Amino acid sequence: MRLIRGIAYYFVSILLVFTFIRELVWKLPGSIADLISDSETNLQDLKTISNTHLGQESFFSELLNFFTFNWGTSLAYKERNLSIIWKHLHLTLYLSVLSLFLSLLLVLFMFYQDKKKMRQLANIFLSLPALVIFPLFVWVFCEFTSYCPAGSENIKMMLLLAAFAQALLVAPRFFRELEAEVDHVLRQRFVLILRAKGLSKKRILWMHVLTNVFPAFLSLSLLTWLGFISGSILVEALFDLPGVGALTLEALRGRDLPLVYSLLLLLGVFHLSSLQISYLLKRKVDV
Amino acid sequence: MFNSSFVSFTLKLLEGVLYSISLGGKCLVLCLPFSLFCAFLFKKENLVTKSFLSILDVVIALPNQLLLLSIAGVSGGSIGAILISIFITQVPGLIRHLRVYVIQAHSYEYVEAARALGASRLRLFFVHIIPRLFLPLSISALSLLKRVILSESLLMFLGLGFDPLTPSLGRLLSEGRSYLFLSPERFLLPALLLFLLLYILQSVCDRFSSLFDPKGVRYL
Repeated sequence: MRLIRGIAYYFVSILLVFTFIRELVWKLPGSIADLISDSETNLQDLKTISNTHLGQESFFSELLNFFTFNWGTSLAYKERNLSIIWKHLHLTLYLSVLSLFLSLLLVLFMFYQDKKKMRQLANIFLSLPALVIFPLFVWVFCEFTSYCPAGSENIKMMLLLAAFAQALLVAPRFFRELEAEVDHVLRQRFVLILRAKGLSKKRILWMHVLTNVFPAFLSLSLLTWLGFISGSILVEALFDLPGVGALTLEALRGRDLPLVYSLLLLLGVFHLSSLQISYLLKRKVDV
Repeated sequence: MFNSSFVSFTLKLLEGVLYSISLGGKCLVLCLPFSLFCAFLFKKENLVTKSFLSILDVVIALPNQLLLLSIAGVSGGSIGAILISIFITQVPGLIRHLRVYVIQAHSYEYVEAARALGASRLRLFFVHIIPRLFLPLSISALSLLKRVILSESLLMFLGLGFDPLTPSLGRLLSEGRSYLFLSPERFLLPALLLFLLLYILQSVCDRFSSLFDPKGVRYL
């Protein structure tokens, strides 16, 4: 019940926010009824209408249109948009899960190394922007060594490469935040009491500290995964992967506003629902 | 190596760094006072605050990078559009962050004493609360500057930015990417400068954070 209420609450809020953004910045066509009644309108007409109907309806009529289920041009073309997005979503989900898995492995590796050195390394990697790392990766592996030539059909290798590059950038941040959480738990009084009771260090760490850190780990993992999905634009553009990120960039460059709007709406709802689920999971796990 | 094209490239680089910092400064001037004002305005727990905060929560929870690129890309990529997109994506988090400190500062005894002595709201805000918020404000400003520089570089790199003649680090990186094999310095120098800029900001931010958050004893 709480889940349904939470999702409904966020869904209404997201509609409000999107209407605001659309009204303020995007200025999509006002007369939505024209578009929906005219089933023959093709994409070119749609773009022409987007440019001619700027702000003809007030904010409140737009809002009314939202609640009467006429979600503007994005829904007028919902079948086209949804089929395109669905085609590209698989790859993005696959890439994000692979990146998360690799970054968890890297974090585990970092935890077994010298903490001080790893902290310094994490600080350096935190300042390395993706704009620098990704092109270098592409250049080294695809052009310089021809290990995975660009434009080839070997999409699996490209995916692995992209996932590793993403993991390399995200793992230090993950490590830093998780280490801060462990540090915070280790400074609590109950650890002192457990030590006074004579429990071994390993037992305290594995049975008590990690149990306390687990909720934070769970939410961090989910946030990282969502970050991979929302940050897929750059990685997919540079590694030439046909995912949602590349589709967004293509839609932005081609001024395909309905598709951009659909993408943002769908990914936004997906993002918010995942956050709500993670919040509920965290409450379940956090005892 | 040090021919005229290299000198002009170095000048472009410096101009790019200055441009990134100046855009960051503009964003700071736009976002920080507004966030502080909102944090001060919505410090009490009532229905208006709750609705305002729930809208902020939704914007915070949205995919940040996607929202930034979409707004900047769709609205034409002018400098105003980039400022608005950065404003929309960064300000909600900043308000949420600063609101905690404003509420905390309000609960201090010396603030209550000043209120009991009849100090006005403005006096409380400027004389008692702002000095107390100096450290969290500096940390927020530095991290915001870092995020703005990154966002601007990303927009320019993807070609969604403004005027093509603007010497931005993102644009230089994007141009240098094509010449990585022939003249790697055209990519590596902007990359190094961007890295150094971000590293300095990150280090100062970390140092401020450690000043602000002294840690207790670790028991294991």
